[in-house]
Amino acid sequence: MTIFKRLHWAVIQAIARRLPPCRAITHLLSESRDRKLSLRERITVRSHLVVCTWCTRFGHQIACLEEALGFAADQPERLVGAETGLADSARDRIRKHLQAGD
Amino acid sequence: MGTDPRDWVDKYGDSLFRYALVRVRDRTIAEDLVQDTLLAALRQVESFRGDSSERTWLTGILRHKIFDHLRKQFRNVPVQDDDVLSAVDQRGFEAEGEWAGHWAPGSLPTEWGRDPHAIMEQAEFWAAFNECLSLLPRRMASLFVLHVMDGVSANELCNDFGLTPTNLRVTLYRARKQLRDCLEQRWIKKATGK
Repeated sequence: MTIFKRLHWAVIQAIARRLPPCRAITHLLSESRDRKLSLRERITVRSHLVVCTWCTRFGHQIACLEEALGFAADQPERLVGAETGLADSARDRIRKHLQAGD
Repeated sequence: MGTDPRDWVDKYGDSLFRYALVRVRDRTIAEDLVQDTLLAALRQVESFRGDSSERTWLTGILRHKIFDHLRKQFRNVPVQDDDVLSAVDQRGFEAEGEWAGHWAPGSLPTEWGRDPHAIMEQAEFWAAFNECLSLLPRRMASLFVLHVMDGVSANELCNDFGLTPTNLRVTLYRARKQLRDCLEQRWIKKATGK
């Protein structure tokens, strides 16, 4: 590692130590999916993400999870498989109820 | 006009079942909900005017049945033991020292790729995602799915499930974190062989 890279890493570590820990940031990243964060919270998150690749990835990951679930809302076969369906016994039972109208 | 109700099971049974299954995570309950839906539809078949497709109409009835079922099942169920859940919150972070609360070296989030559409083309991702959803506590999974998949608002969830806003916020955080942790193990590590 060059001297420049070591210095760069030391500066990032020094900044990171003074920021709220990653755990607190993951809570705010989660909450930002459900409500608008306050200005203070937004600044806290953004300044943390500038130096933290891991929390940036966490944010991308939870966004990806939600996009996938939204996608599966209309295409549940993505999650449970297109071959998944009613068992024959349930199919027969429902048919009988429909015929009897009860 | 719609099709003959006697054909509904063959025509819509499987897709309605899958719709219910991803939301209630239990085959028997999903089958019962499909049955209740088709019988309710039969009773109100005269009111179906064909403004929407028959499938959309039936799915709308099923959606209400699912919500009612989950509300009855989980309303006022006590939140899980806090010690167990706080262990889940701590997992992946340094417990002590100058880096307490920061990601632990063995748990650093990996790069999943910037294009969610490319991820969603992977069958392995969906298989692992389904497995991970099944591993979440039932109520947590249902609240998360209703909120994210069906757009049920936080206020509605709090009112209908007897939760405080803090309960709900923590539940959604834990759902996201556990799903993410699980996918790292069951999808990423499996794919990269690590």
